[in-house]
Amino acid sequence: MDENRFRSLMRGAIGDEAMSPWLADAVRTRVATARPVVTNRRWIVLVAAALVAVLVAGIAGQRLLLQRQSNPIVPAATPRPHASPTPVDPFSCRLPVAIDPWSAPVDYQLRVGFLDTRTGKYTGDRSASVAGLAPLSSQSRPTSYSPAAKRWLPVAARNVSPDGLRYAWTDPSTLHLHVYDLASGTDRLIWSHAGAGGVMVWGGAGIYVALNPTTDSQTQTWLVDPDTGRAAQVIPKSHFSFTPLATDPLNTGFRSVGLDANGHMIWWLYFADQRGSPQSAFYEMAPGQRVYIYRGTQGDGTGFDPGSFIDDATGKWFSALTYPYIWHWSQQSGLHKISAAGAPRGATFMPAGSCF
Amino acid sequence: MMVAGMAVDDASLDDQAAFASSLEPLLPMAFRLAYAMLRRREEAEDVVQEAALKAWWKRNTFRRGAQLRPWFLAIVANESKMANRRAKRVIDAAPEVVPDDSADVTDLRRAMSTLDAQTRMVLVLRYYLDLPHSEVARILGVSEGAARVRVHRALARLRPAIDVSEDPSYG
Repeated sequence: MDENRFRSLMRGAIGDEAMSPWLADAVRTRVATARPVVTNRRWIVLVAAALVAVLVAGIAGQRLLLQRQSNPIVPAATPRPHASPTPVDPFSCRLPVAIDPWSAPVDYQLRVGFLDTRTGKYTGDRSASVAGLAPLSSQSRPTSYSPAAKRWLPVAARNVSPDGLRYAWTDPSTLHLHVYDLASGTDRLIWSHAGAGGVMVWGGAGIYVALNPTTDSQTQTWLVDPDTGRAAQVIPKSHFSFTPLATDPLNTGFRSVGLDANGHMIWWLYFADQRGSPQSAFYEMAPGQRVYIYRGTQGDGTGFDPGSFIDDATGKWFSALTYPYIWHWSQQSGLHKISAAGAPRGATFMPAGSCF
Repeated sequence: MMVAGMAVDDASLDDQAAFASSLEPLLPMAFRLAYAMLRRREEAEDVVQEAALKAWWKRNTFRRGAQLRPWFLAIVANESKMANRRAKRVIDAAPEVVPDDSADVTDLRRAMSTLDAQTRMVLVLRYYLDLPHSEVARILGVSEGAARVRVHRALARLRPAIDVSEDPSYG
């Protein structure tokens, strides 16, 4: 074959993934606020200061530690994302999940299924199908599950309405936002915009849509009313940056884990190269007011390394990038790990719908 | 500021915000490079951020007046390789067979999955990002002739599954 044909095959094999709309803002913020690398001479001073601090801490440390242990830091209370009429126990329910196709070679039919959150057992759903659902495309495949509609859907769980009876989808080449009603089986174009982008999340306030940045513009976020199609541009900065704190570790990397159903962006602070460095996941209720989902250090044994998440009535479900875990977090119960069993070796899971 | 994603003026190298702006037009390509190497969106996004930060720290290694793109993509390529090493999971596992893919795409995925990261990088730069040999060379830190040889050898590694005839007239 000639080189042009090979280029076309390369695009087919790798895919034409577009970068996330927030990435340009994150890079701008990160570079603009980068602190200088600590030089060797500074290291010597810092190490000396640390030694002094260790000596002082050794005298007073135990007492302080005991005080802290008896008064754990608890994040401020915030409203639940969705009130559930019938409470679900997150540690004894069926969570729809999808196996990350790059984590392990999995038969197509077994890539989606359910995780028993009590036992951790994964069961693939061989009957999963999205036949007849919009968008009618040969590329459509089961991606998320709606317990309300009792069926698999061809879109990400974040595109599904809080009641599970509708979902939003976009044509990736032209930003046409559709809403598909599962009860009536009707598909409706509700909003269009020039450019490219996609659905960030269908939250309580409506559908958040992100427009990819271009050379002439920055990321825009629109909140679209799913019933009327009315759209309002929301302030991008509240979604694409957070307020750095003096206590944040130097030169920490960060990335967005995603927008939650209440319109809060969840951030992951980490330092990929340094074992033992502080890392945390949080969202902001107001500038500088963080609600922490996790605070720890790299290699601290928890293994929390969030890839993506969804909201449901019980809290938030996080995928793990490296391990066969699913994580559950709520303000009431904190962060809990559920280890999956019964899946192919190396498989990692993505939450794909509300637990039921 | 004179940028357009290819060259950068001196002032941008001293101002953090201006430097970040000069990287911005390069980010989509940087992301595609990282994604092609790591195949995970989250990790590719991490890598692009790390690379941008390291580019700022290493800006004194950027030759004033030179093109920014190959210099920055070289940092992204290096970060991608490091991320590959850090990842404990096996990303070179045999790829899934997607029913809708053509047989050629499936063959290429299989063949690519057997390549080492360096060889895959060469093919990604040349045939996924569509870069000329001269720029592939600058990103890899080798001469243009050496880059041509590496591309040729990388294509040879795909045979017999994929047989590509190189066009000597194309950059």
